[in-house]
Amino acid sequence: MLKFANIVLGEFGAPRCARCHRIDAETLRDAPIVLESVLEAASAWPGGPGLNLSFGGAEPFHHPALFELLDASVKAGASRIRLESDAHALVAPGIAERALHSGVRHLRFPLLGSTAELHDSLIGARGSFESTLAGVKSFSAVAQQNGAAVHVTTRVPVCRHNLHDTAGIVTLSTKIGAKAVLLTIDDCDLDLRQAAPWLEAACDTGVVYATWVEVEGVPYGCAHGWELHLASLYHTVEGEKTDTCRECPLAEVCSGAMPGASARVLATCAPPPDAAHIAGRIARGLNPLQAG
Amino acid sequence: MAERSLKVAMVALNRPGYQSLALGYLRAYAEADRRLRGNVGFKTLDLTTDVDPWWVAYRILRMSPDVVAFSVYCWNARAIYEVCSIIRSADHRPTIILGGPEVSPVAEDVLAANLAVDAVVRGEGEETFSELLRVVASGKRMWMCPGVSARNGDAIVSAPDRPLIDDLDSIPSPYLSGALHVLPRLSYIETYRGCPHSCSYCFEGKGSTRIRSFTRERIAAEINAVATAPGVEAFSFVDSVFNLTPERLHWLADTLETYAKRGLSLHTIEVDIERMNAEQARDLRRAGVSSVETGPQSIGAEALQTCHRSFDSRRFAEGVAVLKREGIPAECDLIFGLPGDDAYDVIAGLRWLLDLDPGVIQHSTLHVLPGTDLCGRAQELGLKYEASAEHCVIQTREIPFADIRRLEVMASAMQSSYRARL
Repeated sequence: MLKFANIVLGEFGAPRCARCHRIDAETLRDAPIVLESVLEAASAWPGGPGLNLSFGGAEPFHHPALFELLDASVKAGASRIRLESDAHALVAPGIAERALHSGVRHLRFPLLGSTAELHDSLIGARGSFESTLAGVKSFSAVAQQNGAAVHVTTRVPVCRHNLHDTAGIVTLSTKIGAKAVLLTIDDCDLDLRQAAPWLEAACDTGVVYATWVEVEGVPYGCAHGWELHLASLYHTVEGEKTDTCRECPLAEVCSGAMPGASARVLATCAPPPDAAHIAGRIARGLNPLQAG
Repeated sequence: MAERSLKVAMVALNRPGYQSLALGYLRAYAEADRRLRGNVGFKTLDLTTDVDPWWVAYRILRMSPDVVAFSVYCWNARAIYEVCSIIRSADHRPTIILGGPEVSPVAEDVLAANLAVDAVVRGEGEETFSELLRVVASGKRMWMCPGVSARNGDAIVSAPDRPLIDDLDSIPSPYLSGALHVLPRLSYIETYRGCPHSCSYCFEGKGSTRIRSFTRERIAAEINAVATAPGVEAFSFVDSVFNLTPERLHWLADTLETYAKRGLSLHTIEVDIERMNAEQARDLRRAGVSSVETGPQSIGAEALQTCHRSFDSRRFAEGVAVLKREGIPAECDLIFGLPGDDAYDVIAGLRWLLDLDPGVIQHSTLHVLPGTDLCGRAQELGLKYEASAEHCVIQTREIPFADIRRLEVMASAMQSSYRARL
């Protein structure tokens, strides 16, 4: 529910399935440009808890000016800083401590599978799985030693290659201390109606293990009975949408299908028959999840 | 009938980090009772709920007590019933007495369900417990003692209720009398009994909004005893509303300021935040208050109405703001599963509190406690809850079972995220 301003460190650094996507070489933005976006975010912060900044887009620890940028963020008034990182660098001596002392309190790390075999094969880098787990453990241990409250979460780019493992990923995330898991659809051809039972099972697994699972990229109509897990219920929906989703009566509150979703997928996630009714309830401040 | 001497074991199973003030009062009152003096010896076992019931029973039985008395709340009832059963199986002699909010409103049901228990003290316990000990010592009938429910052969009989104690100062102070030792961070002071509110889910006011206060001399003496005890850097008050009146709060601040200047702090003080203004916030700071606890419990109009609570979002936000200006974080509480609240109301409440940024956001799931208004209206309101303690709500008319569990997990994650900050 907490809002974070995204600070883009670069492009093509967020891990995703190498079988579904062409993996381009990571690029980094110059430090002054990043710093400018930090200051912009600070001045545009709407109030409420914060300033909260999330550094991603490229692997944060690949950026040569990361720690200077973190220092500048704290000076700009950041109260929560999140790194979207594979956590590999946090294993190196002193790095986790430095990150913590530089103000990092939130870590969101990617997991594409619950086993090294699946994760590494989808990422396309052997050893990535173990390095991520070791980095997360290192950060959590350092935070505990320093008595700092940190929030560690998992980000799962979901595609046809790991959909069936999402419950396993949630279980593993719980075991390594993640308080929440974000399942984000990252496959334009994934049939969301067929995927829904797997996602629902992953959400239920999280509830049983007391780890919250949020789902992005699944429209209301595909999440019957587990709508509470839809990220769009908690976050303002931002960003470009497909034409189909833009025209839906639920556009204001539904994250819709992922940008670039195929026509075949969009056809399966058409708005529910009562979309206009649900939208009307939301507009009146009523519960969108209940009929009547 | 000649009176026999009694060894009395008084047992509390507290949540870790707490000490039983209730047992302190009971013991202080009984020890001051001239009719018991010299005839009755007391031993208090202030244990925690994480101790295995078999070891609790072991410690009690090793004392060979004539009377075992427990203070029962929803969070320790299951364990206490188990301890009672073990004690009774091992030794048929001790008289087992229960008291406290968990058993008091349903005394006869408790006796029917727990054959190991001999008597239940209903309502305010000090006077009744003391008299009950005299009854036990003299071999008289417990079920005739006002405020007691007990067995008469196979029957369960309740004697008439006992009126509340008018003069609270007639109850000796647990701290000043030595019945309760002052322990760092674990000690609590009560300055009055009752609650000005009558929230449907709460047993604090026991159906009445009547306030009975200790005298200021007594309160000041207790504060001094606790605040000057060795090792004490912080303590708290159990008062349901610390800022009951501005004048009273001002006096408390005057009294506490001396100690606060020496570094003493007060934690988790319950306040009515909608009454809070700049002057009251200053008084709290002068008193050394390091954090306060408050509602709103819900922001849903239907739930608030059903639970007889009022909520003014503007005044609430102003209260949080004036406290922030004095550097005092407010722990804001929400209760999930109140009748009238749907899942969207709960999420709206969390969102509202997040936007307010009070410092700490806490949530709990409704407990439908015996004797509360909600307990009496549960069927009418469509509340399904655990019949046995802790009486946690299972589902409501508005929120199904699975969604309440989902909301619990979601809110915990949100709390973790909110707490993780510089």
